[in-house]
Amino acid sequence: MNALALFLHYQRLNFLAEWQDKTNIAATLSGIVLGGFLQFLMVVILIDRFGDAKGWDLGQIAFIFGLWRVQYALVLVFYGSTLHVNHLVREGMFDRWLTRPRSLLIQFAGLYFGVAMAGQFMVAVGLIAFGLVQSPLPWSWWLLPWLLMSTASGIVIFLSVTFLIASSSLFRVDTESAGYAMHNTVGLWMNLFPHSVYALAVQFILAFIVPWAFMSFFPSHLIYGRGSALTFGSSFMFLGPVAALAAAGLATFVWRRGLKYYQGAGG
Amino acid sequence: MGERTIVSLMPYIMIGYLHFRRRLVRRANLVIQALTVLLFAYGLAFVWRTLYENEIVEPEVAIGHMVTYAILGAVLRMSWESGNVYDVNWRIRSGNVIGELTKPINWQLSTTAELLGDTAAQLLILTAVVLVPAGFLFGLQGPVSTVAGVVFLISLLLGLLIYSGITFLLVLLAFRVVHIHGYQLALFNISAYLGGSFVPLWLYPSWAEAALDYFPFALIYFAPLSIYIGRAESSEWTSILLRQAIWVVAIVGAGVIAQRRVFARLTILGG
Repeated sequence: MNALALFLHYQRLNFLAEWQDKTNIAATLSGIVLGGFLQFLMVVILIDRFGDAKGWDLGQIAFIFGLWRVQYALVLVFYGSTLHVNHLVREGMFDRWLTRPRSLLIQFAGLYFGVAMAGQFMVAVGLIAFGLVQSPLPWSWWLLPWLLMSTASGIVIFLSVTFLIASSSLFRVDTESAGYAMHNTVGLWMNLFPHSVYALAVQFILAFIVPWAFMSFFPSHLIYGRGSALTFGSSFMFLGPVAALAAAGLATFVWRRGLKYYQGAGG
Repeated sequence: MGERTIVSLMPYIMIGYLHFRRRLVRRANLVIQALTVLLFAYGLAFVWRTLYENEIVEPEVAIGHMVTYAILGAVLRMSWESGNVYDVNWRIRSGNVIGELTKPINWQLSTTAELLGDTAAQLLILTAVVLVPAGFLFGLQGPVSTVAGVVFLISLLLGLLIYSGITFLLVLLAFRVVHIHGYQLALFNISAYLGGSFVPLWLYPSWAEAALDYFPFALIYFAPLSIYIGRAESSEWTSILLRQAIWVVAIVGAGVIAQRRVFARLTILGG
């Protein structure tokens, strides 16, 4: 069985398993959609009251945040399991994975299918639709390819950071909180506003330490013709693919070092 | 409080203390979480400053108070979300909960003690790592007066009891539906957003603010924070504390009744 067929086989089984508990799927979907709705409602209340945020209007804020959430959702639906690598290591189950004759990347992708996490995707699409209605994009021939490339780069960046955090478990460091923090606090919260509202130090962290800015904030400057407003220079609008390559390279390096360092807990 | 009451509460105090200690063992996790919240608090302070720069409307409270409200709201929200629900839900799903149910203790009290212990540990770390630096770096202010500080602490404790009471009702649901992650997400989001932990309720449309008076969520975050920054005047304190106390009694009472019903239907196989 080739890698793709194996991946699809895993996912089919996961889907069937999750589908057994429809109440849980419905509850999780509702929880996520409600959370996404309420979270953005806070921004609506603030912008309605205060006007805008550093010149970004409500529609633009929704679009930028929605674009980030699409990438976040796609990674989470297929690779949400990477958040739990520390459990596998702690419970001594990781050894079994290593003995299987398949790439860990395929095995992780097959571990879990987030049917319920599709709610994240619904929230993202809702935000983009709202953003487009509120502030229509200036359409050009390059817009769609640009959005596709930005999305692909963003997925690689997010996945790489997720794997980097998961790698730390192989060095016996339990950083489960770091995973949730990167996803929720720094991810879902700090991307809620355009990064230009933050202090320079925070903008720096969001660009160079946790590079979420390359996922949607920087690329959106090209879409809205605001390149000159970028704190670190207008060229950063185009650097998403470079950041993706750098993040993927670093994650691969650390992951491989982690595998060499890792010692099994028993047989 | 009599000596007998203290003796009868001792097992629960110890359960809470053990959870407090257990939570503090995973220091790396806690410190990373706290540093993230510090970054988030720094971000929030700037969000409010940016919004205030627009000068479209006359703000109801000064920027210093607004920043204080936002940072404290973030810290409380993160502290209350201790992950305890996941642990209890797992014990119910795996059947390990039977070990607790056969002990001669009140399960509602022991579950609440676990939550309070976990929350206290998170609050301690977040206070040390976030609030102390925030005082120097972001202009976090103290309570408007010493008395307000004391009333704030009482209100905070009552808010936490409301939250833990609602959480216990959620945990009981796990005996019926097994997985409660989705419900937990919904509860967390509703209590955080409609409770005013992120945006204070006075910025909501007036009809929404009035409607939220009928729910307990505003009493979890908004009430203590309003006392702290002086938005709630001293003449309102008694009424706020009274409302909180009534909700605590109502929710804990609902927990007692719901637990009886759940346990009456509970069948456990094996031994």
